[in-house]
Amino acid sequence: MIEAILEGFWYALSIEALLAVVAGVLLGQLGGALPGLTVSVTMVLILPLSFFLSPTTAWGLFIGVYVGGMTGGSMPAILLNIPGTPSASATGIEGYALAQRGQAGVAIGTAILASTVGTFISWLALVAAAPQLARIALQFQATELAAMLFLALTVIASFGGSNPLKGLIAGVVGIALGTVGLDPILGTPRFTLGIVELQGGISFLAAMVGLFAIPQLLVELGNRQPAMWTSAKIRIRDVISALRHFRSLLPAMLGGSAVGIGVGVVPGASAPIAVFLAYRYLRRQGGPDSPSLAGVAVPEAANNAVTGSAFIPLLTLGIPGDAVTAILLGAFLIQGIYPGPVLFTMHTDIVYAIFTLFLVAIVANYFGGLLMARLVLYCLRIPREVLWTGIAILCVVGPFALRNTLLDVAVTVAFGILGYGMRWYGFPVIPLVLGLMLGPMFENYLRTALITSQGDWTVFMTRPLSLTFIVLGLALLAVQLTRSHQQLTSTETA
Amino acid sequence: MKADDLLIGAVLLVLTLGFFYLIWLVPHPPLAGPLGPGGFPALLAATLAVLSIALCWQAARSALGSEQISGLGVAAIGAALLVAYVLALPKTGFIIATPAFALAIMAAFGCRKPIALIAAPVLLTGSIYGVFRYLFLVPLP
Repeated sequence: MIEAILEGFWYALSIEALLAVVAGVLLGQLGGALPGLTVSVTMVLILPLSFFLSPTTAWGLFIGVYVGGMTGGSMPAILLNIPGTPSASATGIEGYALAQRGQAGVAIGTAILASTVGTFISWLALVAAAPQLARIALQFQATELAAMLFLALTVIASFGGSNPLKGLIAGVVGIALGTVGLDPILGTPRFTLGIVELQGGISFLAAMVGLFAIPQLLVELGNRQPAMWTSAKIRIRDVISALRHFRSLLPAMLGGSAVGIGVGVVPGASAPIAVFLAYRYLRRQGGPDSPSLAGVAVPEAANNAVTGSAFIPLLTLGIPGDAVTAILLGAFLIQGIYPGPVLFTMHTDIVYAIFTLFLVAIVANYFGGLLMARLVLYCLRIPREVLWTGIAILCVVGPFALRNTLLDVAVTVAFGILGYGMRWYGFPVIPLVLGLMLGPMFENYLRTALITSQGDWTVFMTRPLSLTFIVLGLALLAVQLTRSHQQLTSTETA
Repeated sequence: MKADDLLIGAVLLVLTLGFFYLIWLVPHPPLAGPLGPGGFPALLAATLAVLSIALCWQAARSALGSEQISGLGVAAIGAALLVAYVLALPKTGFIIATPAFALAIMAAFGCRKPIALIAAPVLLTGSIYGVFRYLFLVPLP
């Protein structure tokens, strides 16, 4: 055990892995800072690289993007009042007002500092809680695992926003698409239409590039706004000066981090929810007069605190909580690693390498942020048509590079059109992705449990944990659908 | 947008029928176990069909007004639920099929209280099962 832990640290501290973390942080900060690009799109665009890198190096890159992206979103929010990512929406409220008063540098410095503190506290939560939770989850058998995945899949309805029915439909379509390929128990080909490449199932990477990057590309095509411009001046000295406020901002950062950790651990509750909850709490408590540095620190600590805690259900149970962790789950699966309790016993080295890479990313995020604070002014001037043309090419080349087959490119385009259509008609994309990834595991556990019980479905009701998961899942579904119905009824009455 | 939802619901329903056809083509090898290669997709297709009908229903209700379609619509749902319940009984057994059916039928009757929607099906199933199984000695499926 100790040997595996040390091995993990050793992998993570290799030159390649450290460079990958730094590159990931800078890419993430850039992706987060450029409105429209978002952390998810940045991550799916670099996903094909995971095939050509060692697992630890690839993980360094992904963790860097995740942590950096959460911080990068705050920069355009402060400078232009345009959040680079949805999770930076609350940062602009007071950050932009401070920038208007000539305090852009210290506001960005505060955002970077709070992001660093938030990520560090959530990292502590991850390191403390994940091994314990994995130990409990190791007791689960196929019945509990199937019931737990049922609960996770019912959570996807919450991604449906005002209409959970659409979230459910997207989820079921995702699970159905996940059945393409060889069936997990007997290896019988299903729905492959005679195409040999489809026997391995629909490529996650192709599907994710299609669902996340192409719809955004199509939206940007219709956007005729010129590149963004700001007259704000950023001096590194001002950005660093935020450190002088560390002590006075600490309570705000701790509060924001606590909210972020709490929200991040719940599948379906993502960073934008955490930032608004934390910001509302600050303002309800009275807080300092607006605009203040605390108004920047609280949402930034909250959105970065989501990163570590979202890894807890991902690593221990294999359940992603939001779009970014869904992509990370895809990256795990592409490398043939199945997150879940077994990961902690079979691949202890990988787990501790991830913990170490996370810590390195926190340090890199602070110093990368200081660098990006000035660079972002130039990056925001990149003509939109140049940026998105490059992304369009990556959308085709990335999936092709995976297996050198145009089928994956066709799948990417098909999923891209599907994703755009879903966005247009108000269907959330994340449930489809989660269904596509969790569906095969759900089928595998469900059928294994039924084979073990000789076809007796009541096995799910007679085991206490399994029954608890199922009742919770059904209750969640009932609450979601009732809320949807009530909203519909109130709209009709109005 | 409601008209769009109606159309999407209808298209999904047609696609689900196509999915059922593809499931029918999946070979069912001997010793395939309780849920063969086509069993899980069939469950998904059935769920998708129900959700598509629900989307159409939701959209039609918004577009036309609840009173215009409620009578016939609820009757159709009730009939569909009964058929599904009868089909599910031998497969899943009374203990699983009945609370699910009770929850659905209560919702069709207009019950929207989450506690009632969970408690009543569980209590009804438990009490009916107890009475038939232990008082009347009738083995329920």
